[in-house]
Amino acid sequence: MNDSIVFGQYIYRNSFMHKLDARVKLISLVLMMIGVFLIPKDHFILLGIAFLIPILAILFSKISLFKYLKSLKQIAFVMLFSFVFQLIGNHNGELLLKLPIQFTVVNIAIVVLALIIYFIVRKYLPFKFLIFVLLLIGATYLFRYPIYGHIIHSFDFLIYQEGVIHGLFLIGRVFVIILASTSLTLTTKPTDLTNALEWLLQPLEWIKIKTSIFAMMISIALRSIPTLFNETNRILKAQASRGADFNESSLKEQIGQMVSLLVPMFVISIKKAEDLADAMEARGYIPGEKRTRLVKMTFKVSDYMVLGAILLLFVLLILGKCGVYAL
Amino acid sequence: MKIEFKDVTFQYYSEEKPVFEHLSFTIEQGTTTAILGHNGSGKSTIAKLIVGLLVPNAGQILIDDVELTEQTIDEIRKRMGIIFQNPDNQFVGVTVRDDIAFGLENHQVPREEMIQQIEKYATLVDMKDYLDKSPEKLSGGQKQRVAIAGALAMETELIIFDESTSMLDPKGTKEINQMMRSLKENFQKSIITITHQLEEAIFADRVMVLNEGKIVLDGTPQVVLKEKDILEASGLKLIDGLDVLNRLEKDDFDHKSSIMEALWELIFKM
Amino acid sequence: MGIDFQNVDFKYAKKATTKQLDQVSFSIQEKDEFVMILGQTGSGKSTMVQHMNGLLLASGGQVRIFDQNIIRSKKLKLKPIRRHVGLVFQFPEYQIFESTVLKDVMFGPKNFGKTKEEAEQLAKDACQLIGIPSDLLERSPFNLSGGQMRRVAIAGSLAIDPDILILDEPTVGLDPKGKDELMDLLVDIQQKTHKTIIMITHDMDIVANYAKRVLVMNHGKLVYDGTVQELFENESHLKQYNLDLPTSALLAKGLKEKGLLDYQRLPLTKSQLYTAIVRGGEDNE
Repeated sequence: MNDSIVFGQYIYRNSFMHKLDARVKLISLVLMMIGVFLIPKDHFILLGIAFLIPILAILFSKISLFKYLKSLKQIAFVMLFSFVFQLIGNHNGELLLKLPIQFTVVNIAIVVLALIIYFIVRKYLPFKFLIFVLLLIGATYLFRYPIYGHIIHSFDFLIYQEGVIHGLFLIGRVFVIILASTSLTLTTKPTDLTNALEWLLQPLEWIKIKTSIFAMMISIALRSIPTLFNETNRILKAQASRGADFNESSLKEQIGQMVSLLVPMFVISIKKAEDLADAMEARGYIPGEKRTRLVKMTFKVSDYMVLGAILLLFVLLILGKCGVYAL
Repeated sequence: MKIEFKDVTFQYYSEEKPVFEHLSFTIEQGTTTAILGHNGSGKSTIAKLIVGLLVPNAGQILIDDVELTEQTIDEIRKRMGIIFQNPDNQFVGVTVRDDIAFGLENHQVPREEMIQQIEKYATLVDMKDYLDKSPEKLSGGQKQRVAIAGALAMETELIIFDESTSMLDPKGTKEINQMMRSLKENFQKSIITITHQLEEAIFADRVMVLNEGKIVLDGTPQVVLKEKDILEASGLKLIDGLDVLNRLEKDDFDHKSSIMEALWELIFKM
Repeated sequence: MGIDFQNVDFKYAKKATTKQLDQVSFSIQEKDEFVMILGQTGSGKSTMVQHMNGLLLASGGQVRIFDQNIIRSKKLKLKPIRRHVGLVFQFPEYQIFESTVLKDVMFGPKNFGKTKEEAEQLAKDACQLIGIPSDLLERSPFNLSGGQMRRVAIAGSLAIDPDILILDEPTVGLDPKGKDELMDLLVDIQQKTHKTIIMITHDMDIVANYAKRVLVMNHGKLVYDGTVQELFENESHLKQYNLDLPTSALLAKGLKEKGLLDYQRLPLTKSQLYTAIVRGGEDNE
């Protein structure tokens, strides 16, 4: 069964998290997202409790922590910027640090140059994110001392206590949500996820929104990804045989060669879509019509327990928020 | 299932000439019919008209004396299955099991019954061990067998094979042809097979040859295969044996009749 | 030497247990050969062919194309190799993209640095060679019939003027008449231009009628390299390689079993079958 899905982030393991009903995981994730944003500002204890949930999920998934950290890497830049934004913008609380910044032509030029070099060579760099952070720190340091030339503009870069705390809290929030959603995608098959989504969106059918069509679209799209990947590979090979070279040509040539990939890709995709639509129609598919389902999702005791625990935490948080007791 | 074309005219909107004009024929219930023609002769258009994927510009198509219209098509479709040319482009499910289930789900078959049907017909097409495999792991022939199981599971009265073997390797082609023959022998179904290979028409009860939108030959394979000139004029290639027979006819040598008879028999056994 | 394989191995991943190519050795001249590659689906034919123009690089052994060692190295430029060895894949849909037939065929020569005028001339020559009528040149390739599209794809490779032209199942999906026409054209091109043509096929009737030299692949191994007659005479081997007999050979065998026909050499084509039958009659007299 493990080789039935070859795409997406899903990694097959025989673990508690994998056996958990996809609907439970999906509901939990949604509640987590809402919950984390309901946590009062800078309340690190509650954030810590929220943090425990993805940690437990990771422990019970039998998937190495490394895979989870990988997904964090993709969003690291966003996290860094929101932190810096907080540092600059938040002027409450005690003043922690005062950095005089002085822009001169020379040090602006140096920083810009350093950034350009970084973006050119980043392809070949290990730890590129770390280097980027060091680069930023280095730039701030450089701006403190006017090396040479006329000072164009100067101001004091002030860091306040609340800026740091709030910045950290913000990062913590994103961190929790990313870990939680990663543990969902790593342990749930895309098809199970679509089924869960369809189930979850069922109430919308009452107000005449055909959610089953969306679910079908998603599952067809998921089904097509590996096929399209194979097709792209074939087109690449066919055009490479005709001398299209995606590494050794000039930009102008490369644009022409991109067209030589994209056009066949479109033509093939449209042909496939037409054929598939015919096949589906011939087999009696009518969009939005009632269908029975082969997949039957049943809640197990463990599913109820997990769902119960998450719901309990969520309700406790809401009650606290409403002022029933002090958080 | 009885199929009747009455004066059917059809033209693709992007083309200048109609595929056929005033085409009429009847296919009787429970028979196996082969529709032969070269690529572009309009034979696949007939298949798409029967399952209602295309609508005629003029004329009528009657299925068991009920006219195929927008109102009747959904009910009529439940009674027929079609296996298309490209095995990749008709696989709807993520796994073999899902794919066989697809038609059953559309026809609102209860889940328990569905499970039984899938089991039964996956076994019949010899794909039971592959139920949880995704299409990328299957050969073309296996994918076509899954499509056949999907059609059988719906217990349709008619199965149309629309050039179902033209993209398969010899092994897959053999598998599908054998399956067609066993369907003919073991099930009371109407079968229509659409092909450009003479050898795939031999097992049918009736062969119709289509050329330039007209039925130029119509009869049992024994009768049709004898019309070598018309077959060749219709853009079809004679099976090697037929060609040899053709040349032998003009010669004179000992045992001529016994050899020719034996050759003729062998062709039908292939 | 055009193509030379010595003990070539290929695996998709380093840790993979199955080899797509397993100790394959053979060589093909740079001109005047007509080679057909047979074997079941998954036997390694396509993989082997993709080694011949550097689309895949061997995991072990040595591949030499026009005396150039094809190794896994960043320094190795593969483009010059593809100038010598053209490869046409099975479905034209995977490569046709331009607005007119002529422009599409010009894509190859232009990639290899030809000027617009040169490319146009090469494209026109290639189209003529493969039998594309000149009134089609300005038409959109997407409105052509399947058979014509396939010719455009082959012309796209021919226009590069490679020494060796490889075709992956060029006749699949064509109707029988279209198959014969294409095969006759290929033979014609081979004789006119003296290019080496290599093609993959599953169709034993085509093999019987057109092949000179045959390579058979089975489970990644090259199991046969020789003439057609010898291949089809050895029935136990055929079974082992999962290959069928051509139609005429099957009929001849059937007649022999009935005691109606006798032959020294198994007839493979329809004309061989015909002569065998007629001559058999004379012998009886």
